[in-house]
Amino acid sequence: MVRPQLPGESTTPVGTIRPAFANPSIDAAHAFRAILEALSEPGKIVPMAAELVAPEPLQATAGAAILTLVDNETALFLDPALSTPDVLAWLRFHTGAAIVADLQSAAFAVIGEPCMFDAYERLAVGTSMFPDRSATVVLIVERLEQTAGIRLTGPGIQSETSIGTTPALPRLWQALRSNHAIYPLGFDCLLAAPGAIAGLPRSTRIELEGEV
Amino acid sequence: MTTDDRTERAHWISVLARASTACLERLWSLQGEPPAYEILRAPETGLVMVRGRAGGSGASFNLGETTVTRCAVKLADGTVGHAYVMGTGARHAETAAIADALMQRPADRARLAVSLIEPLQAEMRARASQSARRSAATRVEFFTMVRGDD
Repeated sequence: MVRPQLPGESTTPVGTIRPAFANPSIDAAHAFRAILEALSEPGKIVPMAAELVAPEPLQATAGAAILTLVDNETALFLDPALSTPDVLAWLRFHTGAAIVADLQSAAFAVIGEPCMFDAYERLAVGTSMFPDRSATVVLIVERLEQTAGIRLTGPGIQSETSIGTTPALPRLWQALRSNHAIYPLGFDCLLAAPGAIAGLPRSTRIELEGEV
Repeated sequence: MTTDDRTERAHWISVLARASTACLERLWSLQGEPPAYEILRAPETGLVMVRGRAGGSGASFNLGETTVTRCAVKLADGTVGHAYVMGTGARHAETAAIADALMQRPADRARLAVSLIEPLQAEMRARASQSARRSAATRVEFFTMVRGDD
C-alpha cells in the first residue's frame, strides 16, 4: 500500500535495512511497559533491556522506544546526527513512519545530539481543545543518574526526586520549566540511555538546585 | 530500477504469491541448497480489505477482509526480497521472499526463471483451465422464446 508523501517529508537514498525486534509483539510490549512506568513515575530511571541492534547512532533503547510508539500515521523528526541513510531506512521499513524535516509538524522528535539541540520552543504543544496533539521528544544520552542538581516534583513523584544526565543538558531543563508553565499544553520528554529510560512529562515541575 | 525492471519484478512476485503452496514447496526443494539469508521481518499475518467493482466497472465497494502474510529477507550480499501472500502460509511467504531476492540477482534470475517461475505459471494455468473445464461441463444454455408482441 502506498502512503501519500507528507509535505516536507525527506526522500534520502535508501540505506541498508537491518532486522529489528526478534519477537515484535512481545518485545514491543516489554518496551511499552518500561515507557509507561517511566512516564507515570517521572524521573525514575527504569531499566529497559532492549534485545535489539539499532543502526548507529540510534542506540537500542531509543530504537526500541520508537519501534514501540511510532507507526505509519506518525510524523517523525530526526536531528541531523540521526539522519543517516541507515537509520532512515531502518525506521522507514520497520515503522512506516513519515520522516519530516519540519519539527513543528512532528509527533515524535528523536534527538541524537541533545547538546546541540535548542529548538524546544518549536515542538508541538497541542491546542487548548486538543492538548494531546503535542510532540514527544526522545533525547539520546550516554548516562542517567539519580544525582542531586535537578529537583523534580509533581504527579507520580511521592515527595521529590532528582535526575542528572551525561552529557549535562542545561537547555533542556530551561525548556522543561517553560514547558511546565503552559500546562496542560506542552511536550513530553523521554531520556534514553543504554539500558535505561526516564520520562519527564509536561506535568513535572523542575527546579534547579539552590532555588526555592 | 527502470519501469521494465519493475514490471518484470511485479510479475514474478505475483506468480510466487499466487502459486499453490504445495507446488511452490515442491519446486523450491529441487533448487538445491537455499542461500544464506537474514530475516528482516519474520512472517506476520494481518488483515487486508479486498475491494471490488460490480461487473468489473461499477462503483468500488468493500468485498470483505482477507488474511495476508508478509515477510522480508536479506541475502548475504544485501539484496532484499519481499513477499505478500494471501492466507496464513508463513512458509510460503518466507520462500517467496527468498525467491524474490534471488530473482533480483541476474546470475540467479536466468536459472530460477526457467526452473521455478515458468513451472509455477504452467501449474497455475493448468489449474485455471481445469476449473474452467469443470464449470463448462455444468453449463446451462438459456433460450428466450420470441414473444408475440416483439
